Parts: sequence; structure tokens; C-alpha cells
Amino acid sequence: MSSTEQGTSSAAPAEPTTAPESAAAPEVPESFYYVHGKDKVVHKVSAGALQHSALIHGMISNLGYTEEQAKANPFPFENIDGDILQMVVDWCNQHKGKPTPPEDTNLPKQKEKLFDLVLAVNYLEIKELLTYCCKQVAMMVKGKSPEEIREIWMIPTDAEDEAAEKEAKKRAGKEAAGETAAAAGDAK
Amino acid sequence: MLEEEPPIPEYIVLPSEVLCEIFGKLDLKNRLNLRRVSKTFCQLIDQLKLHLDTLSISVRSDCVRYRFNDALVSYNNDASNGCILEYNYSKKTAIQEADFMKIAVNDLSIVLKPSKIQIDSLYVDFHVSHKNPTELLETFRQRKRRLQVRQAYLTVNSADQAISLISALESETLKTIAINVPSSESTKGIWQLEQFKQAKSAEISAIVEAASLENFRNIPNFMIKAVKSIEVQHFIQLRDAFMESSTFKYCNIRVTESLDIDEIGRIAKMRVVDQKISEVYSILNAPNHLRLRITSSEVEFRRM
Repeated sequence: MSSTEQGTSSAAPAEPTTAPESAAAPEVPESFYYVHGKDKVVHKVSAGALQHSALIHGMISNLGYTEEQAKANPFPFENIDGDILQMVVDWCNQHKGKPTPPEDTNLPKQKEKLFDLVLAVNYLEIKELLTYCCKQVAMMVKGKSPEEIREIWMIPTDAEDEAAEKEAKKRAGKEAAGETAAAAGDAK
Repeated sequence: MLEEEPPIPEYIVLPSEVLCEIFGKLDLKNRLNLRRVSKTFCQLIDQLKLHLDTLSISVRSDCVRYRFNDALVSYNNDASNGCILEYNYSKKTAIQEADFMKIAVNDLSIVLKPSKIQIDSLYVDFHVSHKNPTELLETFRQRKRRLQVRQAYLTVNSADQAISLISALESETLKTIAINVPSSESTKGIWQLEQFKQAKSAEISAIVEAASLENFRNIPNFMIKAVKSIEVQHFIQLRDAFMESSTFKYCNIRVTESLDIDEIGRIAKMRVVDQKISEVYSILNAPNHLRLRITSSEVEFRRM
């Protein structure tokens, strides 16, 4: 499966009688990497599928991970729930090396899952999937009144917001005071 | 460290760049709803670029009407000192003790809040029954960034109103401009605006002093309904400019006082046939010709 997909990018399969060196090129097995989310369940993903994630792609090319290292140390994404990471991995596998379709209907309908997916996809920098997700969220908001939108996002009203802000400020103030006190303690 | 924080209300926080991408996929009406959700949303919406195919503003003494693409909103003066809001000719809402003009102006200022706004066609129509909607013009004057309008069709009651509106438009994006000023006061100031001088096409229904014609020289396509006190030197100047221009296409000027063709022919050394002048000139560095026709009521230049 992986070898045929690799072959499409090369002219080699069309000429099976060429020298063994050039024929061997598409035979190189695809490299795999491993990722895990919050639940520590490890997913095996091909390098081709991971291309979709600018973040992982950057990690691989910048860190020069070999397959053995990757196997021993799966990329840890502690901030992503296991089921969400599963969705992301599935999507990447399905769209490996393919141009992405204009619409993607397999996104979760449940808003909590969709928002979690948006966060994960944004973090992993998977541009196309993010576009689909944003479209889906936009559809959710379309035609809704401000109150209904507030419910979707579980956003408090401005009055509640202000109260929360005040609370946060107070807390930040306390923390800052604590830090300076600690710093002063260090200096002594 | 002690981790003992009071519970923070659990609402979903998406990064603002993601929110912007989501909001960017929604139209004006949905965006206006989002603006009312929270302060953060409001700020994000106002940072987004807004594109409208059509923005139409029409003002009468008893009614203000806007069209945003396909949505029509009108604010009608109610006899009992209220305002009746109408949406797409059907949904009606009455607002007690409210000035229709104030509500309309406020709504427009909210729509025009985003710093970057692109409009394909802007129509403004100030009916004679409402001489000077100053508050509404103020929303245009207050803008920090100019509107990127491609085509502007303005019917206003004074040159000052036209100047206020055109000054609020980005000159680089303004291609077509139509101006209708049914007043006899001087319109000189309008034609001196940079936004005007660089337009690709202009249609003017206003009285234009012949001395202002020099501001039209770089417009490839224009029509003027009423040019006042035009003299032979003005034709000559226009002809010379068009002969040197690489972009000129068409110009039609109607005059307020009928022209003395014989006298023009004599001074400009042009041939008069049947009370008409018709001349052809070759254009500099181009295989084209410039045709000039003058009758007692109009002057026409055309590149052929």
C-alpha cells in the first residue's frame, strides 16, 4: 500500500526493467512516526500523512529524527485528548498525499468535540483541516442570535465577564505580589 | 506552590486567529450578531476585513434606507415620534420615542466600524427633501482608514457633501465615479480631489466650470452633462492632452450655453460643415486617431 503510493510520485513503476538501483528507489519502505495524546495511547503514522501537520513536519525536519528514535520516543501531545488525536490521525491518513476535497463532512457534530478538534488542529498546524473545522463552526453560528451564540460558546454576558475579569485581576495582583516577595526573599 | 484557585467559568476559548478565520466566513448580518456576543468578539469583528458587493444609502426627509448586498433595512419616521424599522419589506419593528435618523446613523456607523472595508458598488442618494444629513456624513468623515470602493454613484445636494463622501474613499481602488449634484453652486472642489482625478471612468451630472476641465484630462472615459463658460482654448487644451495620452478613450461634454460654431471654426482654424465641426487628429506614438466633433450643444472626443 505504502509502496504504490510512493510509486505514484516516481516514474519507476512504468519501467520495471531498469537498473536495480533506480528500481529500488520506490521500494524504500515508508518511514513511520509515533504520536500519543493525553491518554498515552500511541498512534503509528506514516511520514506522508504527517506532512499535513506543519508542526510535526517541522519537528521531524528540524530535529532530524530517525525512525528508531521516533519509535522509542513518540511525540507527546499531552494537551490533546486521545479521541481527538485519533480523529486527527485518521484524517491525516485518509488525506495522505491527496489533494483535499472542497468539503469535509466527517467532522464531529457535537460542539465540544468540534472545539477540541479545532484547538488540536490549530496547535498541530494542519491548515486544510482547520479550514474545514472553521467552516463547520461558522455554520453552527450562522443565523443564531447573540444569546444563542453565547450559549454555544458558553460565554458569560458582559456583566459576568467583568466580574470574572475583576476576579482575575485580583488574583494576578496577588500572584505578582507573591512573586516580588519571593524575589525579594531570593535576593536576601 | 499552592494551587488553590477559585473555579474560572468554563467557557470555550479559541485563539483569536482561529476566531477570525471562523468569523471571516460569515456575512454582515451574522457578524453584527457576533459583535453583540462579547467585547472580545466585538473587537475581533471590527478587526476583520469586510467585503460588500453593494452598499446603498438613501436618505429622505422621513426615511433612511440601506441595502447591504441583498438585505434591505429601512428606518421610517413614525407620526407619533417613533421609528419604524423594516427589514426586507416585511419584518416590522416599532421603536417608541426614537429619532429614525439617529438610529439609522448609529447602525451605519457600526457597519462601517471595521478598519478595512471593500465595497464593489457604493450608492448614495440624498433626496432633495433632506437637504443635509450631517450626522450621516460624519460617519464617513470619522473613518481613520478610507473605504476601498470600486464604483461610487453619488446623488447629493451640494458640492460639500460630494467632497465629504469622496474624501472617505481610497483613491487607488476607485475606478468609476458618477456624481449628480442638482445645484448651481460651484463644484470646483470636487474635481480637484485626488480620488477623482485618477478615476478610470466618470459620469457627471452637475455644473462644471470650464476651467475645471483640466482635472479631467487623465480620466480615460468621461461624460459631463453641463459645462459652463467653455471657450475655444478649453477644447484645444483637451485635444492636446488626449493626443498625448495613452489611456484616453472617450469624452462627451454638454454645454450650458449653445456654442457659436462659426466663431470656434474661425479661431481654432477648424472646418465647419452644416453648423458642425468634425476633425481627425493622429495620436502621438500610436496607430490610433482622435476624432473631435463639435455641435452647438456638445463636444465629443473619441479615440479610434
